Amino acid sequence: MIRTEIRKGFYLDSVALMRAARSIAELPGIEDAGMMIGTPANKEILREAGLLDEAGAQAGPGDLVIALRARNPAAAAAAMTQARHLLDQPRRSEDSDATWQPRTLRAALRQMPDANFALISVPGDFAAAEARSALRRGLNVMIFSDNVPFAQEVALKCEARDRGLLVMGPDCGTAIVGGVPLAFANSVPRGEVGIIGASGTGIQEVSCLIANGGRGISHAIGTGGRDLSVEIGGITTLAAIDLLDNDATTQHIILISKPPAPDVAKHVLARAGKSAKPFTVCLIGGKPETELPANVRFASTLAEAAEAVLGRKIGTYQGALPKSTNARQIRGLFCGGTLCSEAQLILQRSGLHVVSNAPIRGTGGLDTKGDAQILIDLGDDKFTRGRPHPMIEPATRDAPLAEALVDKTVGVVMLDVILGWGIHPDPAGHLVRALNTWSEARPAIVASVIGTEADPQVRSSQVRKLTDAGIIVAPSNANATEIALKCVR
Amino acid sequence: MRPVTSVSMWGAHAQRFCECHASARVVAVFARSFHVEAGADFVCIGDLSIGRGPLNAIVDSAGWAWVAGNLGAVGTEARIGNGMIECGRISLVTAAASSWLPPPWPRNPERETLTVRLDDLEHLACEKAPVEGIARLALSGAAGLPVSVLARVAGPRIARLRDWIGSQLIRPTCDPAPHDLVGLGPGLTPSGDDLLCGALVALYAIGEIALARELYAVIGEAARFATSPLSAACLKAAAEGQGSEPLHETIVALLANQSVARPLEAVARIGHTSGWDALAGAVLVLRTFAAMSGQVSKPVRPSAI
Repeated sequence: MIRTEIRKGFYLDSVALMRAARSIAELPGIEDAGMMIGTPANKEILREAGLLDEAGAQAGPGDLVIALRARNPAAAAAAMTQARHLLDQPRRSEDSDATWQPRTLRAALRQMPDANFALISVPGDFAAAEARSALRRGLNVMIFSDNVPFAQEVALKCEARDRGLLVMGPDCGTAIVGGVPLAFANSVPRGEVGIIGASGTGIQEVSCLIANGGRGISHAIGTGGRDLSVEIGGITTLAAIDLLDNDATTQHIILISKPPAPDVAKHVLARAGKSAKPFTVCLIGGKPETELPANVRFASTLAEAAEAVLGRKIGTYQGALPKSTNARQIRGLFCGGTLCSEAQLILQRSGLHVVSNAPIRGTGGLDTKGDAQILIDLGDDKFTRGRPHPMIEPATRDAPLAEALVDKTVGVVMLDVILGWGIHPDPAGHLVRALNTWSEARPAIVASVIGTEADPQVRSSQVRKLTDAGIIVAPSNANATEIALKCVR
Repeated sequence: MRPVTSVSMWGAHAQRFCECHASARVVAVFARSFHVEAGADFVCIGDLSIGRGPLNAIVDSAGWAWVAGNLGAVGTEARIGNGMIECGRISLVTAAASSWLPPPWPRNPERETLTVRLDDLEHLACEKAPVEGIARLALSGAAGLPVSVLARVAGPRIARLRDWIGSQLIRPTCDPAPHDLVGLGPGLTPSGDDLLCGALVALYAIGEIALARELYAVIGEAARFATSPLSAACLKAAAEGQGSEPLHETIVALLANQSVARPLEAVARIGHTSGWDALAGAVLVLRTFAAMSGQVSKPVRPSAI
């Protein structure tokens, strides 16, 4: 039996029409199907194909004819329903993948009207407009984009606060919401630890150390690096504390940040003090000047923050160390900015002179004169402008690594190997291949692998590749720094 | 706030559309473009991916993000005037848009080298052109193609067009142009129309403007009732020698004995079959042109008397 339907003045792009017709033709009980503009020539084709009935013959050249031939009325009715559904779903672009993906927020909401969360990843100049549009549609927002003007961030966060919504970011690289890893995040078990972090790799390191220590994460909320500035006043941090404080699953809250503005720190700590839940505050590079409330404890490193939750020390590297040489410099080449900061802090505490392109308090800039330990954040804008982030493309680290390997003053090279969603599928493999091209004697290499067994790259597999290549792998970035320190002492 | 952005470049027909109409209606909304209709005229407004062409008005990527987020539904009224298109919640400034014009056609193309280039192109088309349209049928015949009603219907019609163009180029007659490809085939613009557009543009490329007009006199009349208004508007532009930029670039490359690899990639991205179908129409003309002896004198066309 033939069934046709006419859509008056209906335009759909060619690819979508073809795909829809194919998918209808493949339905059970359907012998053939076509979707064509109802021109006289096309009606002739449909008639010859046995797909045109009297109703379909009425179509005009500006109309779309949906035509099918079925074995029975039930199959015809089901196929026509499916055809209507395909034609009425939001339009796909001409070159879209087989799976329809919305190109606009509006289209996404048409497809998923119950959504309450939008992840914005567009060039920085346009991120604020998209984020504002999402907020006005009642969505919480994660802004992955960087280079969003500061004034726009302030305005967005104020608007979100007024609407009772959350703006994570800008430059929010990591989050885990309701067990779902977003952007660069790891597969960690669900649990009772909530994390609020201004830093992506800080959240990754702490959540992985906790996961590898047998506990889980309720939510990890990124705030963006400027949230604790005077101008923003920790709007997102405070909103995140409210959320986690009211979340029945969350039993312990960890706050990770660079040292905040003193007044903002006071405010945030006061809010934490009102909670009945224990807090661990990890401010890389500085301890709060205000007295900590009774339920808040301070952790100076990411590893200490994880230990506070686990209630025990994280294991340390127990293997052999390379023979000491005259080369005394540590050269750190980090993908993670917070991991670079943590390493600076630990080296500073050991009385070493440290320089970095991303210096924390007490560290000099790269132009500082004299012997120094050099720690580079390769995720810094200077390295990533026009190039992929080293977490996505590990080859970005190859040139600085080669430079470190030939430098006779370098006694140990420190690296982070970060795993997780959105990250290169085999960063350890790339690193080993890069080192295999090196035939000369090289300095010791100490690495930490940030990830879990459940990550796409599988932590143990990545660790094995590194250890097989003679790289020392420490269980945490903090411990890797301590090992590096031992190597040059 | 009403988002405002600018049209950065537009084709001659898009520009004329805004000069001739004060109001219009959105008739189609896609992910990267939307179509506005007034009378029998169309303008396609979209991001850079729609490419340059006579009916296209291009908004840069940044501006398109605004447009896409605020565009109204099909049926939304558009107001045109004062260097602006106001459509739903969006305003598009057209005052500073630069005009797109097709590149000039090469002079005195070598027919021998053109034949070689066309051979290469047809070989490529056998591998790459989609089977759903009529490009492969037109370029290399039905061999190897799945048996389909479209192929059965379109084959003789393409042959009639080829014969007519051949006879008119070599020895003009009073035979009327065939018009039965109009409105034939799948797609937003039917494959038969795309092929005719390509043929019309190619006739301009080889200087056969009078023949292009003669062909359009017939198919333009047929298009009034035998195809969609959008497709009719594309045929009208082609009858003035204007098609999509990739089509022009491919024809130029063929006539200038240059590689067609790059423009061909862009042709392949036009719709699912439209780019290839238009190119097949152009090749149909160019093949006939290349096969003509260089010494053939140009008789006066009967229609020009």
